[in-house]
Amino acid sequence: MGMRITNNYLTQQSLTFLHNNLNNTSALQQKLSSGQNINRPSDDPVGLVQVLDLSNTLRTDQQYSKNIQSAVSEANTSDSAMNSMISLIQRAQEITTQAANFTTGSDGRKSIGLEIDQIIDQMVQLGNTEVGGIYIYGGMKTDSPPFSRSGDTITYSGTPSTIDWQRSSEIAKGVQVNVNVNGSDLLGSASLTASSPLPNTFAAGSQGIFKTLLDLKSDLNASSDTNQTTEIQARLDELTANLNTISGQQATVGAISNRLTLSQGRIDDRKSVLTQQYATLQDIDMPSTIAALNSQQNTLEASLNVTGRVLQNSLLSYLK
Amino acid sequence: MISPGFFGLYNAHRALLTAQGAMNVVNANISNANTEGYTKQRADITEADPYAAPSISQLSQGQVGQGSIITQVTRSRDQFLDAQYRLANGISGQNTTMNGIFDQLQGIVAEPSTNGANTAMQNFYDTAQQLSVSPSSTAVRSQFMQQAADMVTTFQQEGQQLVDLRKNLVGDPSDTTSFATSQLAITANQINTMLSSIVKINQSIASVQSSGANANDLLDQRDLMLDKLSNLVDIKVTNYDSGQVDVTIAGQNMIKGVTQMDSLQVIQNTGTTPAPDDVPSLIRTVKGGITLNDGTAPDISSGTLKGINDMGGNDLTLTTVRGLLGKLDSLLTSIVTTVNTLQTSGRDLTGSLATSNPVFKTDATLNPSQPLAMFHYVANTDIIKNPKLLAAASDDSTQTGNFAGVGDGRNATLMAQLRDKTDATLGSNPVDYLTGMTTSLGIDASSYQSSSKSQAALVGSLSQQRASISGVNTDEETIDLLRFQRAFEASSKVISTLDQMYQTIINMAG
Repeated sequence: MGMRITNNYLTQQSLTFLHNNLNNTSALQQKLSSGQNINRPSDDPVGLVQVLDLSNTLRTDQQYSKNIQSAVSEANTSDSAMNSMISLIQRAQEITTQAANFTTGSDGRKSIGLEIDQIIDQMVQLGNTEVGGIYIYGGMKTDSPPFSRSGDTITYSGTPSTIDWQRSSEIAKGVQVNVNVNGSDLLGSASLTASSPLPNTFAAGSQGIFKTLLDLKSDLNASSDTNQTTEIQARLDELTANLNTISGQQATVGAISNRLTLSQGRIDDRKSVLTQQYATLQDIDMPSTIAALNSQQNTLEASLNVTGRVLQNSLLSYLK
Repeated sequence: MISPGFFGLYNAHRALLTAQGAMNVVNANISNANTEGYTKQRADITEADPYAAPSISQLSQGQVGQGSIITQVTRSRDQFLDAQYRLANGISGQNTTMNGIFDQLQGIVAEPSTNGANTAMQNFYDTAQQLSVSPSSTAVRSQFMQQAADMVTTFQQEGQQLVDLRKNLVGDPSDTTSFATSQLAITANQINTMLSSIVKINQSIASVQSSGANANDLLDQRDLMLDKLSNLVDIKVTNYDSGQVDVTIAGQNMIKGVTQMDSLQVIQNTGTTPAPDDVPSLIRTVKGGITLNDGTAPDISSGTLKGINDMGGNDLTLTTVRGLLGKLDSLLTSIVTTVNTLQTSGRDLTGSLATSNPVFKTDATLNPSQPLAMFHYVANTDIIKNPKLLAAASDDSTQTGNFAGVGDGRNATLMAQLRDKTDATLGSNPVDYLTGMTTSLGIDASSYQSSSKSQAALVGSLSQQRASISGVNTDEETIDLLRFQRAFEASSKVISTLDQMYQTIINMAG
């Protein structure tokens, strides 16, 4: 003989089934309305680790991306400032060649000297290029113009060019990239080191474009009747060397810029992969969840229907 | 020799009484078909003693039946199933309670979401990174301090919710009135109330049964009370033929028949100075039998009481309320300490050493009743007012004034890198630590979710087995109703037939 089924047994069982069905329906409903697979840690503890890791990586990448963007903007400004510097030097070469010409007299040389003086001013201005309030050629001293001119003395008050004072930016976990070119590398003495603290004045013996331009100016202004050909010729060679220095630095900036662009590309690639993974874990599969909800609803209706029928049955209905 | 003259009438009368009595039992069954704790009753019908008693002068035709009588009304009940049900019910009570508390914990920890501790912490490290790139920007500095304050607040809010939850479960030494209103104390009171009701029912059963009557309805009430009690705490029930029961909790005699031996109480743990790692309350019997949480082995093994006690307990290694609180505390303390160490050794925007300006200060007047360090941290208001004091720059002895310049973000870079740096006190980096905490909460919560489900299913199936034995089937009762109705009709017919027979004889005599 089978199990004795009693009325309470039937109601208890029906209630248990209905309760389970309602629970399942509610879980699906929660998923559908939040759009997320994992709404609390217990929903999928293992998936949760991945979801948290992915979202953490995505947000740090976002920060790296911001860092890259600001570094790129500095590199771009730096690049265009260097273009202007190169044009200025080329102009200086042009007029200096003219000055070296025998036909240019002392007056002519002096007027060329005036233009060189202006070129020096413009060069100082370019050395003080800023991006968003930051003087890019001052090393870590970004709050004040690194170059200042007082008569025929130009002073660099930025930090030295040693690696320690390079401003850097983190562009990936543990990867620091130097974002700046040092003003003293670019325009002033390369021999400036930590042991010779600031400020550094470009006096005799130091190298760089300022020294050359200042020397050139003084050569052109010399009241001597001689043509100063030897001196001016020497300055022309120096100008070429300075041009090469700046081009070299421009190439460095170009390389930084390339590296940043590549990193940004990597971050973008990774972002699409990670976002995809994140979506796979955390975003619900809408069609299948809806299908599951529908089938759950059918089950619920069926169990309600069956409960209604089973509980209605009684011998009393058949006794007349 | 024939039987005495009105022998048949008495027989038929007994049959009518039997049918009526059985009908009453059917009636009781039908009317209690949906009564909680009701046990289906059965009228035990036997033949009445035959006439006459065996003797030398036997009746020629032998003994004649004297009809039927109801000897007793019994309950259809299986005590073995009862014991199984109560055992399962205790475990189910514990699991359900713990599952409920885990639900609350998951609500408090609020991960994954955009307003939990993880987001607050990540936001903070993000601004540290931003600071390293733009160390001279006042806006970024302000934002850094804003996120620092926000992170502390988020941790403290979650912490406060955990403290409140624990206070609600087992009381809090900083609020002595909380012990009487804790869930632990309320549950112990419920248990005591049930124990005293059971004793009273035992007494009623004793007086009913001493008069020879059966006390089925009282037995039902008592068994139902025992079922409910078994959900709160694990009990051992000993049944006696007299209908009495003894009840023990964790080996302590609570009830012996009609006498209540002991009851439970929850008291504040004043054994040691109120420190964060003390268990706030102890469970005892009044006579001093059980003491839970006093360091000896726990003797209560299941039930709601055990669930509340465990989740409110002080085991830092388990996912308890206190355990989570401890982890949040360690994490925030680690962040605060490591950031402050860098800050106080760095140089601010004006090039001064930030030695006396930590990012986070400890203010003992903040939440003074909370012993944990995490409740006393506050973002330094001096820096919030004057963000220049933030030390984004390193202390650099090679530079004039040991200060490279406002563009120096090296110290901020170190702060940002703390995010991925293993901290010795945590044993991992802060991000992994929090992820680990959330995950182990998730694993425990999901395991209690499933075990509370499966245990509830077991209780359900045992309850159905009991219903199969003790429950009322109205169809059966309807059939019995018809059966005894027919019996009653037939006996009535016997009486009317006998009546006609006597009529015949009386008329003959007339």
